[in-house]
Amino acid sequence: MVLRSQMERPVKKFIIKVLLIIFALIFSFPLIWMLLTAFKNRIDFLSVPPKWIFVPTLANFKEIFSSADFLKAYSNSIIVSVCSVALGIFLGVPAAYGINRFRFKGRSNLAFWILSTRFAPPVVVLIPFFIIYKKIGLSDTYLGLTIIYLVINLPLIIWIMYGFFKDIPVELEEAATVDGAAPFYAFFRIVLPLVAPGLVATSILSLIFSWNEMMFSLVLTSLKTKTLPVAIYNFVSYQEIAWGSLSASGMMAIIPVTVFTLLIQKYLVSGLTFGAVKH
Amino acid sequence: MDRLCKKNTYLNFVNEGDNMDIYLKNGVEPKIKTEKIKSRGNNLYANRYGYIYILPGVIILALITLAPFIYDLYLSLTDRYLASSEPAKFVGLMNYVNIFKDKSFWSSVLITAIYVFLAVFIELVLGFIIALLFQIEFKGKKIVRSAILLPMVATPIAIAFMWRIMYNPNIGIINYLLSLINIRGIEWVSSQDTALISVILVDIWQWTPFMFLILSSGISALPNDPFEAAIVDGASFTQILRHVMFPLLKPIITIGLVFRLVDSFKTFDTIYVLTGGGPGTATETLNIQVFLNAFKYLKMGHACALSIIMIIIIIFVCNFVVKRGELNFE
Repeated sequence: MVLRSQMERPVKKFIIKVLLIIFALIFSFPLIWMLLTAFKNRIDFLSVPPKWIFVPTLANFKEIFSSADFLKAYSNSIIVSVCSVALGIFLGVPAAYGINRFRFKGRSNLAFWILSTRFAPPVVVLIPFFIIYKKIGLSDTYLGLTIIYLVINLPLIIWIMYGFFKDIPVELEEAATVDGAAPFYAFFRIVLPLVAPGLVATSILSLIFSWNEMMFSLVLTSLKTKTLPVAIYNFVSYQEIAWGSLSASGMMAIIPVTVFTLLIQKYLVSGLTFGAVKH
Repeated sequence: MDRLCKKNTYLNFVNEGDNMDIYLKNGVEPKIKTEKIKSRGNNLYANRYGYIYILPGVIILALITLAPFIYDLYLSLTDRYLASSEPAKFVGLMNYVNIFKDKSFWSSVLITAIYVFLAVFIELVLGFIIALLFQIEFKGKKIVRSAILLPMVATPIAIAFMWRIMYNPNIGIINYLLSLINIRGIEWVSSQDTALISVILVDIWQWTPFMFLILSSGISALPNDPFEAAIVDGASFTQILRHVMFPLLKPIITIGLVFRLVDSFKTFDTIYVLTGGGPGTATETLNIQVFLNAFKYLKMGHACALSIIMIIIIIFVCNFVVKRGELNFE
């Protein structure tokens, strides 16, 4: 970047570094504050002015880990996210491959329609799903949640994997075909291994979105399949707000997501813009 | 011979190397027999196998997006009310008419407009500034980048509650820090006047990193030549920004804007947890209003009509931005 030389004069560079560190602190501050709050006891939490230095306590964590409700919600989140992403991969990866490799009429219309599902507000599907699920008894079930989570996951998986498949030269499959390979052989044994990193990154990205999802589970779950975000929401009642449990469980929700994000940092841009922007 | 040489019979087909004089003498163009490419199974471009790959995913996607949408459209033409035992009547466009007459609809349109445009605009500007600053090289750049990414991926409900704690007028840390520089008593989410700004602020905190990410990808992918030419021509820093960088970045900015604008219409988690649409209706965006009408007041028909209107608005905004950004889809 040519402008860099202009910006890297020592004084300027120092100021810029400081500014960037300030920004980094601003963006991570609420999370750091949540981390601190999770280790505070009630007195420290309510103190004015807010305490930076205090004696940490594990009481909040002990409280949520001994709550069967919280543990069930945590495992529900894991189950639903994993299942939904697995289903999405199973359906979406071949679809992405097919759209990329096979020329057929209406191909670009199909691609555009898949992209457009990203832009639809989730409420639009939620209302019909709510009514239908109540009728056919899929309310508060793992299957029900898994299916509706596909609304978020499937377009994402298809569109991102489409980008990855585009980068694999067709010649490899053609060579296999010439050598007498069966029709699906090229896909499973040659192309899939090549897109494996992309596959992993897409799965993790979908996992993150499914894990964070709240609106669907707020409406469609009840006691049995409540996911983590809903459980956290329930820590607020009319009388008091369980700040300690809130911050502790918030931490427990955010830590896996943070770890996963750091793993797939490279693919984050591509994931968030459906492959429109690559890095 | 004449019969054999009739035009367009298949007897015109010859093999390469045959004697073509007979044909040419009679004025018939011989066609060289070529192998017709049949759609064999293992031909990559055979349509048959393509369908096997595509159909499961596409059918399921259509089932879970198109079908609900059509049902939604249908419901918007009825007066379905889940708390009543009467079956829903078909009322045509009555829901829509009522919505347009409803003051709370227009107020939520205003709130949504303020939210969407203010938040996205600030995110764009801030994101651009940070992306620009980020072009320098220094140790620890990766850590800074990871820190900046966190707001986007952290579970929104956890973040929203954290901000609620921080926004607390009495024990919250924000008011404490502000009191150090002599600003006192802002009520943030507790007051109707400041609730919307508070919510917008959280959105800016959460999604500026998104703009930063996109713009920084875009900036690092820019070609060097226009900049070098501008520097040689003696352009100043701001001139280079305005006349070289900005036009080159237009496609990326458009993409960022489209995604961010649409997503901000869809914002739910943070607003619902921070204010639930209140106090009163101070932060009731269209999306929140749809949700409340459907799942709190159980007025399904009304909610569906609202959601259809919302979709139309989103499509308009998208179209507008894309047209102005002169984006070319590949």
